Amino acid sequence: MARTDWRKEDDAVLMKPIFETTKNYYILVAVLVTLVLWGLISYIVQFNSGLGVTGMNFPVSWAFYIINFVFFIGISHAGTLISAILRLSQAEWRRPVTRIAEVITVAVLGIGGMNILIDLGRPDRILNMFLYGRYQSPLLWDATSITAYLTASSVYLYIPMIPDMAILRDNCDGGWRKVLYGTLALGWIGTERQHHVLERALAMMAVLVVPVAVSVHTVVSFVFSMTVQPMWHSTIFGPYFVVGAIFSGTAMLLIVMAVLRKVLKLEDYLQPIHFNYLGLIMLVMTILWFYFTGAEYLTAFYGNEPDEMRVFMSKWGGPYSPYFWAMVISCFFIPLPILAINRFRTIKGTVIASVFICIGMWLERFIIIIPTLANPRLHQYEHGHYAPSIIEIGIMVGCFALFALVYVLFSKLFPMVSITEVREGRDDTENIVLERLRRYTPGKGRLD
Amino acid sequence: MPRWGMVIDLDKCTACQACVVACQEENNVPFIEHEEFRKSRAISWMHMLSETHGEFPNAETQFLPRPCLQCDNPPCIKVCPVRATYINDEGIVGQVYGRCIGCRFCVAGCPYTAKYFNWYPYYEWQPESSKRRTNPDVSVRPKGVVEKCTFCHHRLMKLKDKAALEGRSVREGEFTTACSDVCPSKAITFGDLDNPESKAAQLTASPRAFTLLKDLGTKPKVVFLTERK
Amino acid sequence: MSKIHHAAEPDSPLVKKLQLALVIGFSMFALSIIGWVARLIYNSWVWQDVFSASIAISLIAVPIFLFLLSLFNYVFWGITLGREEEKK
Repeated sequence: MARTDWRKEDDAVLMKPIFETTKNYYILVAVLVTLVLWGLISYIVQFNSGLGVTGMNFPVSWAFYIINFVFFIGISHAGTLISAILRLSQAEWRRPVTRIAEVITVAVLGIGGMNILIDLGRPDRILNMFLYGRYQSPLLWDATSITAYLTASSVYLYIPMIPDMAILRDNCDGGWRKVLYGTLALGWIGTERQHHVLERALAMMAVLVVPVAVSVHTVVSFVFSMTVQPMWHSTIFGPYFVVGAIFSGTAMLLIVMAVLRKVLKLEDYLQPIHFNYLGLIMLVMTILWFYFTGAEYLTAFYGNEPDEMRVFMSKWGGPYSPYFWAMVISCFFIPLPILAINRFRTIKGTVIASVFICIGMWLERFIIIIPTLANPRLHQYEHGHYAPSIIEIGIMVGCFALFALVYVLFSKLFPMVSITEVREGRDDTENIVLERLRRYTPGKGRLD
Repeated sequence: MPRWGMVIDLDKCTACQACVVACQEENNVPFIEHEEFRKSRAISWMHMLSETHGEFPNAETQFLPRPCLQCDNPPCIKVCPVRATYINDEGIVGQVYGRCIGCRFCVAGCPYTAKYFNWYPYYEWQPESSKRRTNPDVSVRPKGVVEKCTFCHHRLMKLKDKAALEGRSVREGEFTTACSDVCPSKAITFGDLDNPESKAAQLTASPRAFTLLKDLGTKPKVVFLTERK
Repeated sequence: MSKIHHAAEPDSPLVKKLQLALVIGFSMFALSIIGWVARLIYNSWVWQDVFSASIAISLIAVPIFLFLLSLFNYVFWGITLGREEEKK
């Protein structure tokens, strides 16, 4: 039998989705599973017939799947990077946000990697990469770095979950739940030594995860910048992609937070101040993004190298200009006023900005990949063209639905807001923060 | 070790595309049906590039037959994750169809866009009449792998076997590519660029010689001779 | 420091076995990644195919996985064995 009744606990609302299932939940899961099945069937068609069922061709041989790969890996920077950086800087407002962010990371890293497999002409030969891989190829750097990040993020997600698993273990009635939570709780009962182990491990992971995360999107950018193709072979790509990743990741985190707040009734935990602070981070990122984009395009334009200018003009005023300008407007011109003006930086405002940012950042990946491929260096070729097929759209929808499904299933089994961290914030940190303030207030600094 | 290269004299080239057809026949390059051709997926190991300058009635079109440039510093092999594309001792950039996982990194990395991908099992889709003419010396490609011009490397392999049986080495001028054999105006000269006596090596010293995209440092072994005015 | 006090009810044998499977599974995973990297280094040595790149990448990747392997084991054994102290 349960040791305690979860309903009587302080943070019962965080455990409610785990122990109670509403009809809406089943409907949501059914819808998501259907969409995932659409994606799966699309892939089966592709696997049987060949990549010809997509819209890819010669010379545009990389398209939607690679765009989605870069997009999803970019989103992964939300979680662990934000969570780790906030933990390292001891920002107290991070407490309800960390787990939401970390789950995003683990989910999208898997889906991002999956998109590469989907893009392969011979996925049945994927073992070749493990047996005969060459470390000179940026794809191998990708494989190694994404594996490292996925492993590190999973560990980083799991470690703070251990005390929460103990709470759930003691609150559930037995059966498979008791086994699941009991296993994951590792016998946690809250002794001094256990706390010490956990905190130390978490501190070390927070430090490790940051450079691993930065390396991941840097090597993803190297897939493009290590070729000699016009407007790909640019030294700015490493930092550009990392900034873009943090940018799009934070936007996605904000959207997920807003959705969870509504659906799981977390108004008490995810307050306007969280959206405000994340909105400020996004404000910095949108300005940074604009700066990097400006530097990249201005350099290309000023240099006036013929092959690069053909790619540049196809983005600036040519066939890809609608997407280019939509990208700039969605990533900068719309979010900037919303995020900069205090009155607009509400939950609703930041979510609107985030939606535009996510769309804009997806377009950014499109704009980076397709125009360069469509304008080969040997200008005697005709300008390439590309339009996605229903298969690519189906697989993309399936990927997004899978992301949502993973999230929904996770929220059914585990609390989306870290109960332990929130309690720690409520009970302990007042003194810790006060002590910290006293320590660096000048003079005889008394804060009462 | 010989270093195989090719010199294409654009002054002699009439753009008849006999080289394209010969390459197709020799190397089992699949015949791409109309629908796929419209989707821009035609495979053309030897490809005739054309560029028109000026307006009618003063328009002038220049043609450039482009095989794989067989670079000495190939950008495609650097990025292959599984060593399906590699460069051998004689300078030929090869493609291992059995190893290729179809990631198309080499296709995206080649600045000359000389690599082609099998979006469908094109060989199987060919009409029977094409399949009956399959060259048994060249493997046919399944779907999902990348292919490109190999300087008719299979011919070299056969010649080496023959020469070994006869106790000699491959003679100068014995190894030729299908395109260089068939060109009616003898615009394509194939040979060992490191052998000062080979015609190809001598032609590379011509003042009309140039290579495509020289600044990229790919060191292509296909040298072009400009048209005379 | 906030402590979540639970009465010390020991885990069932099934749970203990699953926990052991978890730590062994993760350790096997981390070791197999390191083994994979080692194999790729070996390959590049045998084929003389940019050996330096393999060494450079492995100098970063292998320590990361070794660290994760050690940390996970530290957390696992620290927590499962750390409940005894309460009784003292």
